Amino acid sequence: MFHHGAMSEEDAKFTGKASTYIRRLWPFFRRYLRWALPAAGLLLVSGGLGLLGPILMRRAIDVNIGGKDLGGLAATSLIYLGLQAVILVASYFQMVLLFRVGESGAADLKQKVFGHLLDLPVSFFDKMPVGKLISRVESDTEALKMLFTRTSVVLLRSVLMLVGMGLIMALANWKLFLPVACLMPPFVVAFWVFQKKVRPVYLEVRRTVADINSLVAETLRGLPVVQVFCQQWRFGERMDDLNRLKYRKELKATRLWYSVWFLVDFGEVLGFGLVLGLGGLWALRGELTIGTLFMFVAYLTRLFGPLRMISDQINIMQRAFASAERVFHMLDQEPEPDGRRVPGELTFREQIAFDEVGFAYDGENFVLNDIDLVVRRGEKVALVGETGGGKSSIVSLLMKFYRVQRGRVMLDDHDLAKMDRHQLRGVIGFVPQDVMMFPGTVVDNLRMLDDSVPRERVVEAAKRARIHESILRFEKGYDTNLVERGVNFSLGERQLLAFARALVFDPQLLILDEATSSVDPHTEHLIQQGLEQLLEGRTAIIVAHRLATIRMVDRIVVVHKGRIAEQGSHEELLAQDGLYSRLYKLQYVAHEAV
Amino acid sequence: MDPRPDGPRGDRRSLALVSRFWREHKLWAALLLVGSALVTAIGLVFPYILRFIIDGIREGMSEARLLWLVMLLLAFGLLRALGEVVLPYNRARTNERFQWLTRTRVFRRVLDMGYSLTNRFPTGDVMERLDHDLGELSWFVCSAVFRCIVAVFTVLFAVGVMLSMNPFLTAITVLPIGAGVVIWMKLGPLVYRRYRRWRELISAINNRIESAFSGVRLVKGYNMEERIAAGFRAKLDERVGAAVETIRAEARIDVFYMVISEVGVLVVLWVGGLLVVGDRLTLGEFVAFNSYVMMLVGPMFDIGNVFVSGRRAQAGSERVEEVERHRPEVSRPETGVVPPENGDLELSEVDFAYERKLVLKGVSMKFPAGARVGVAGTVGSGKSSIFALLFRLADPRSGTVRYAGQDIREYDLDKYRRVFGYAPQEPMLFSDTVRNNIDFGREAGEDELKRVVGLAEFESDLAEMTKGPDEMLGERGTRLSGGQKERVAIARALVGRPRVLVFDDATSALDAETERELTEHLTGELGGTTVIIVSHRLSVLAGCDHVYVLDSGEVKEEGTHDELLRREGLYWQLYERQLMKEEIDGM
Ligand SMILES: Nc1ncnc2c1ncn2[C@@H]1O[C@H](COP(=O)(O)OP(=O)(O)OP(=O)(O)O)[C@@H](O)[C@H]1O
Ligand SMILES: Nc1ncnc2c1ncn2[C@@H]1O[C@H](COP(=O)(O)OP(=O)(O)OP(=O)(O)O)[C@@H](O)[C@H]1O
Ligand SMILES: [Mg+2]
Ligand SMILES: [Mg+2]
Repeated sequence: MFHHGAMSEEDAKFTGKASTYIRRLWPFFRRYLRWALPAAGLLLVSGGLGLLGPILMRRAIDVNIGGKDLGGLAATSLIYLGLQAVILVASYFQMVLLFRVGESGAADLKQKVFGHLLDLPVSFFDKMPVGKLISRVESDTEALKMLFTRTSVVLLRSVLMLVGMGLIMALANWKLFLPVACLMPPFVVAFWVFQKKVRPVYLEVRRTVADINSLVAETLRGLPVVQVFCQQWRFGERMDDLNRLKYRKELKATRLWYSVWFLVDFGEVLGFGLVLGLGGLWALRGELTIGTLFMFVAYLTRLFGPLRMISDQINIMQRAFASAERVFHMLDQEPEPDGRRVPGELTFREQIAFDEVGFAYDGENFVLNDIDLVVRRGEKVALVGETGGGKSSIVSLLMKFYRVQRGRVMLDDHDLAKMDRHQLRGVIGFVPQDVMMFPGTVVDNLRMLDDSVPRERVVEAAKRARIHESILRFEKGYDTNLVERGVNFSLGERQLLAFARALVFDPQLLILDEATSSVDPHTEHLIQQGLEQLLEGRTAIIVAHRLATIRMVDRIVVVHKGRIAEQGSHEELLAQDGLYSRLYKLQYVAHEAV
Repeated sequence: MDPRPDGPRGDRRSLALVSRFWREHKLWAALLLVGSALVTAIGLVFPYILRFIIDGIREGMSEARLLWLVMLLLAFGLLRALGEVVLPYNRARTNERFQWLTRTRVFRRVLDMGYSLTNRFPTGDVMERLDHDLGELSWFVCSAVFRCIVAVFTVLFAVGVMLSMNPFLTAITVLPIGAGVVIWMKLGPLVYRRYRRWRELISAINNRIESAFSGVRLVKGYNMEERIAAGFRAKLDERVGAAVETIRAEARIDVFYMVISEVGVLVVLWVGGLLVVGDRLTLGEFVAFNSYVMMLVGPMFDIGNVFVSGRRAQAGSERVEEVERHRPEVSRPETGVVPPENGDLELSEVDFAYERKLVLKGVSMKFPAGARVGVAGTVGSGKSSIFALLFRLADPRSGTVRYAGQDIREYDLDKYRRVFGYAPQEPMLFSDTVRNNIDFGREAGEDELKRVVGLAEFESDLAEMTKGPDEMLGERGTRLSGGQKERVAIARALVGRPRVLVFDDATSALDAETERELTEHLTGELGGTTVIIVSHRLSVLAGCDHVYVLDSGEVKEEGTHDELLRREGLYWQLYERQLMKEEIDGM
């Protein structure tokens, strides 16, 4: 019922190499070496000192207790105490430092992914559900931070400890050490097999998690519709299915992991058996002191700790690589092409021209064809026409949200395709057809988080947009918090807010795409009265279906099926008796009925 | 102890999700408990055998006996290895199962909630709560709890064995553990507070991501990229701070527990050594004692850890519960009445408020069966809110809504809602195929789909799409034009011929011609259907049998279109612009 794996991006093949990921992640953590290195040092210190424990034990048993040397025993105990104190203090700082490195590096990575995504073209967002983007920026980067903190340090320490213990044991009694050493190679093989098998599983887990997140996001947004159409059960089932899938995948990974774990555990037992069997035999024959045997046993107990750690970290690493894959897929998306800045301030001098423009969202099915349109400075132009005709698309092109496939769009003598997008958008005030609010206060929404805009200007704009009184009807007035997408305001109110927003910035070119379609005509009329003086000498492009909305424009352009069908003044178009005149008559038929 | 002023929850209720899960899985809990005991016991026999062997070697036992003991050790070791895989695997499975069941359950509850949920919890927040908070919690539910149980078993067994060997030495080894409890009591609440703040910052960050990407056209259109990124960075920095604070508190607890167990080792070494020298303890016992104390180190850590993770889990559990316990706007009646086929809808003296904002005041309206009723009014006058009441998305504060003469609160909620077809003011489409968006789970079949697509004037648009009805839409229907979205929403409302159709300003993005054709189709097709329309277009309102005019939450006027115009009141004032043909002609 629900569509699975909708986005082709999701089917990206699992190809990446671990070394590539590590190389690309490195810069994010490199700058925190000043914390990471001391932390690693502390870890090595505590690990290394930890190794001395059994030696002290041996000394206590063989030398102090065996020799009934009470003073020596006290000395050994005190050394042990000092050792532990150092280890504990080192552990505390090492934990905190490493953690800080991880969090800081992850934050930088998040910032990078977030910033990069903001730079991607609008077309990218047409395809990508927001829930999935949140997973990418948030959870996937979280999984990565372990790589450069705990994982690398613990791996390092574990390997060093293994080597260190091996050395001590070999020095103490190489004959007894040999069988223990023989146990190691199988582990290496097992770890390798495990990591190869488990990564694709984790990739699937991550994908399912992203699906779950985007289901949550979409459902919350469409909740009233889900409820009125009594579809709760279906969304519930979908959630259940996704979770079942995640459960299965997680367990698959877990099973893989515990098979390695079992190997380690059993290896440990074998180790004990060998050491006690052989060592015991030798000890019975007097070829080995009991202290040495005991030390071997103690090291064996510690030997498998690091091995478990290693298997643990390999597991975490595989999770991380699965996430890295997804994060880098985002970072590899081409950002919006950036053109050249026009030196100095960009001013709109003469005209905007669409020159034989053809445009297709998908590159194949053209929704705009042969658009030739000139909007001169100071002119007010209306775009009207059948729904789906291409009005919003024209506007999007003007905002440089998409690239045109044929022809070009010119602002004075600059080709939009080669212009700096920020500079271009800086001169335009844009009210899109979909109203959108940000969580935050009314003021912040009207000035778009730009604190340099004084509050008076915001209030002024709100008054012009006739939303001032409605705002004051809220308890906190301009400091009312808008909830997500502003749904604590009615749609009409939100449209007026969006309108006010465009006015705050006093743009040279105002683009209104159905900005007042849900506003009652009376309010709309009042706004227009105010607007007429405001727009003196300014340029405006107004898209509207309600023809009363565009009564003040200089020219009307009728867009029909991706082409410009007619253009001219109201009278000219009426006289032509074409599309426009039909639309016009339809809207005013009610009058005749009275 | 509780940092939130509005939080009534004390320690007892805060892990309700966990206790609830175990109440529902008692048998499984018992099995895990037995399993844990077994695994612990097997694990404990290990050092015992070790002691035998070492003592035996000291006393010069026979080689055959040594080999026999080693074989025994191996056998137990194999058992132990098995146990230590089977038990944790089952714990992990339980964690995952809890996560699955809880997430689905909470989500199902969310599906019944109303505006106050979305007002209070932004999407990114709910997502975080259902993803990571639940994830952390699920680890606690089984793994942490049963690891702790194994740890307690181990401690008990070990202490028991140690007591049997030497009570005095046992006492002075084990007593410091008591200090751990004190530390935990002192630092626990701190961990909780800091951790919770950290989680809240993560939620806030998710919300920022959500809004930045949902409104990406706006972000770009207003060159907000840098400002948004700067705000994001600031929150990230705050978050790093909160995270490090949390870990500081947690590390203190961790380290303390390590101290305690190391003190035990030290005591055995020193005091035990003295006892051996004084011949009050055998060397074998000393070695065994030592390994038992070493054995306590891990469990002690697990026990300490469960206190730390317990605080995390508490915060996580509360955050999940806050969503789950959020009160739905409406409750389902115990035994709902089945609504009749046909009936008048009626609001009488209805007051309604979103939280404290009163938006409908003494509204009385009537929508007779089969009639076409228009609702007009100023921006924010409460039109959409009336529909929320009609569909029982919310209940009025006072007054009643009736269908066929009966209070709608008495009807079976689902059956009552099925009376309606609804085209909302914002289309609210889903990222799914066009077909699924229209059909929306009702499995109406190909013919019905054709019919509603035709009625909604969406046929030719559909024909132009490469994959026709199987074309995938983006989130909220991106890749359709504004008017196309509205028509898909209208088609969705028409599926299954509902008896009452509600169009909330659902043609605002349609051109006059399309709208005209749509209205004509509908008029032809919908004989006997009650139609309620909000519109700002006179052409639509003129076709209604009766029109209500709203202003600031009150019905100001009502009557037919002609009556209202003649009255020259609010209605006339609102729509005169559309009448003043001369003025437009004179543009
Ligand atoms: N993001 C997109 N991806 C693919 N196709 C799109 C996208 N947006 C719009 N289209 C298609 O492009 C065509 C023109 O859409 P556009 O939004 O420009 O129409 P419009 O004139 O603004 O219509 P309306 O008056 O209904 O808003 C439509 O057929 C639509 O399906
Ligand atoms: N979820 C909500 N939480 C709080 N207040 C709300 C919420 N939804 C709407 N309101 C408030 O209730 C009032 C009435 O809103 P409603 O959506 O019913 O108006 P409307 O008549 O449909 O307006 P419009 O013509 O703009 O659609 C508005 O002032 C709005 O701010
Ligand atoms: Mg449009
Ligand atoms: Mg409304």
